[in-house]
Amino acid sequence: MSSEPATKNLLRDALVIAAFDLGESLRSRKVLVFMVLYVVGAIGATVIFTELLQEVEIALAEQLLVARTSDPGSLTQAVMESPELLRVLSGLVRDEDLARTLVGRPPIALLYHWVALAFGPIFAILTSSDTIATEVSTGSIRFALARTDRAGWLLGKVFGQSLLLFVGLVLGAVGAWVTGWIQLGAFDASATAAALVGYVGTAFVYVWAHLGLALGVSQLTRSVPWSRALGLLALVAVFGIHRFFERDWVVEAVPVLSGSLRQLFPVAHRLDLWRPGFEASVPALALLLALGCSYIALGYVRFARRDA
Amino acid sequence: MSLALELSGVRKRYGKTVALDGLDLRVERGTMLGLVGPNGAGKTTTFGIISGALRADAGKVDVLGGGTFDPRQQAGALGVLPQDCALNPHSSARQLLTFFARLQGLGRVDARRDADRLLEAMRLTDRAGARVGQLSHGMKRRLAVAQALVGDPKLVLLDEPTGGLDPHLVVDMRELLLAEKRKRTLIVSSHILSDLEQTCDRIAFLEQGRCIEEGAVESMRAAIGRVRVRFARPPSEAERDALRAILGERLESTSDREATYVLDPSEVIEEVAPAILAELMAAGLPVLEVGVGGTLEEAYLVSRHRLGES
Repeated sequence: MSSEPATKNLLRDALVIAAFDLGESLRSRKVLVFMVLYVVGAIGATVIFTELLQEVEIALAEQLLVARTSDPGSLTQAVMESPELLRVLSGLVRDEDLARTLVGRPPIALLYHWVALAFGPIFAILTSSDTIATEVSTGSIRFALARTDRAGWLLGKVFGQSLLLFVGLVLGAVGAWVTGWIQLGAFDASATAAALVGYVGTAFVYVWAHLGLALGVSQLTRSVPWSRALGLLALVAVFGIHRFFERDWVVEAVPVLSGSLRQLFPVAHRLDLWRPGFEASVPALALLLALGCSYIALGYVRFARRDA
Repeated sequence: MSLALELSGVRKRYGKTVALDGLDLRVERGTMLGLVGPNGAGKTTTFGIISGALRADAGKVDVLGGGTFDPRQQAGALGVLPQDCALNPHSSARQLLTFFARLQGLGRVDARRDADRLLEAMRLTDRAGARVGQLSHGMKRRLAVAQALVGDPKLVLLDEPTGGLDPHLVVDMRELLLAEKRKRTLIVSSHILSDLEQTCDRIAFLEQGRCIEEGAVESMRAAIGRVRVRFARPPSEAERDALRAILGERLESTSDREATYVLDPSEVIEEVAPAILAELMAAGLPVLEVGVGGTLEEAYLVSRHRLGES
C-alpha cells in the first residue's frame, strides 16, 4: 500500500467501531428480536390505549348526554381535561401543576413516553449487557486491540450501542405515531409528532443511563451468561435500592443521606423528565448522562487492567 | 542491529500456572521468526503480551522501538492473528476486512482496496459478500490471516496460521508467507516444523515459558551432526551395497530418495561431507545433493533433550 494512513485518533477510531458495531448488532438476530419486541410492544400499548380511550369516550358521551362516537379521539380533549383524570394523574406524579400540564399534551406522546421510560431500561439491559463480555469471551476483541486502545474500543462500543438504542426509540415513536394516526379519528398529527420528538430525546437520556449500567457491568466479566445475569441484577438493584431509600422510615431516619444516595440512581430523575420545557428537565438530563458515564467508567477501571 | 521486538525477563501467571517465566527474545527487523514449543509453552501468551491484549506481570516489552505496544502511538504498525479467536460473525468478509483496515489507519477508499487485494490473495473474492459466520473453517482461517496483513503492518504475529487448513491450502499459505517475507517482520508459531523450516529465517524454541534456544534455521540444522545424501533416482541393490560399504556403521537410514549419515563426535562436518560426496560419486551412486545437518524437528528434539538433562 502506498497510500498515506488517514489521521488516526481516539474519536475517529470510536466512530469507525461504532458504525461497525451498529451494523453487527442490527445484523444479529438477538438484537433484532429485542428491537422488534420493543417496537411491537410500543405499538401494542398504543393500540390498547386507543381502544381504552374509545371506551372512556363512550362513557363520557353518555355522561355528558352527547352523541356516542365510534371515532376515538374526537372527545380526547374532554377526557384529558376531566377532573377524574386530573385527580388520578396528580396522584401518580404527586404534583398538581405538572399533572395539569401533562393533560394538555397529546395522549399518544404521553403513552409513548411512559412506555419508553418503563421498558427502555429493560431493552437496554437485554441488548447491551453482554456486548463487551461476548467479544472478550470469543476473543474477537483481540483483532481490534492490535489497532486501537481499550479506551477507543470502549468508546466505539458506547457510541454503537447508543445509536442502536436511539434507533429503537425512534422506531417505537414512529410506530406509536402511525398507530395513533390510524386508530384515532381526531388525531393532531403535528402536535403529536412534535411532542414525540421531545420525548424521544428525554427517553433516550433516561434509558442511556441504564445503557451505561449495562456497558459498565459488561466490562467486569468475560462470561456471557454472567454478564447477562449481572446486567439484570444491576437493573433490579438500582430500582430496589432506590425504592429502599424512598421508604418513609429511611427518609425519617437519615433524610440527607437517603436524599443524596437516591440521586445516584436513574429512576430518581424520571419524574423530572415529564416536566415541560427544556430548562425544567436539563438538571435531570445532565445528572442522567453523568450517571451513565460513571457506570461505564467504573467498569472501565477493571477493564483497563485486565487481560482481554 | 535494528530490533522489531525485544522481550526481557517477561513473566506472566494465570493464577498458580506460570505461563511465561522470564522470557527473553530479540527479533531483528525484516526477519521471519518461528516460535516452536509444546502446548502450554507460552507461545500464545507471548503473542497476547506483545499485542497488548494481555498484561505482563513483570519484564520489559519493546515493540518496534516504542516500548510496550501502544496502538495509538504506533498506529497501523502491528497485525495479529490470535489463536482460537472468533471473527465477528454477522458482517461479510469484505466488511470485516475493510473495518480492520480502517482501524489500521487507512482511509475509506484505501481500506476497501486493501480488503479486496487480500481477499484475492486468500482466494476469497467469490465469498467476499458472504457473512463470516457462514464461511467454512478454512475460509475463516484464511480471512483471519488476511486481517493480520491488512493495512501493511511492520510487524505481524501469526499464531498457528495453518491450523485446520486442508493440505493444499497449507501450501498456499506457505507461499503467501514466503511472499510476505522481507516486506515486514513476521513471527509465526506452528506445530508443523517442516513449514517453519521452509519459511523462517530464525527459530526460537519455547519451553515452560522460557526461550531455551534461538538461532538461524540453517545453523540449528547444521548443529545436528548428520550428512544427508539425496538421490536423483532410487539406487540399485549394487549401489546400496556400495553405500553401506562407504558409510559403514554410521549409516543411520536409507530410502529410495535419501540416506543419512550420523557423525562421530570426533568428526568435523566440513571435512566429512566433501569426503563422503567424493567417495559416493566415485562409486557411481546417483547423488543429487549432499546436505549437512538434521531437520528442524531433530534440532528441536535435541534441544528438548538437553533441557531435560540439565
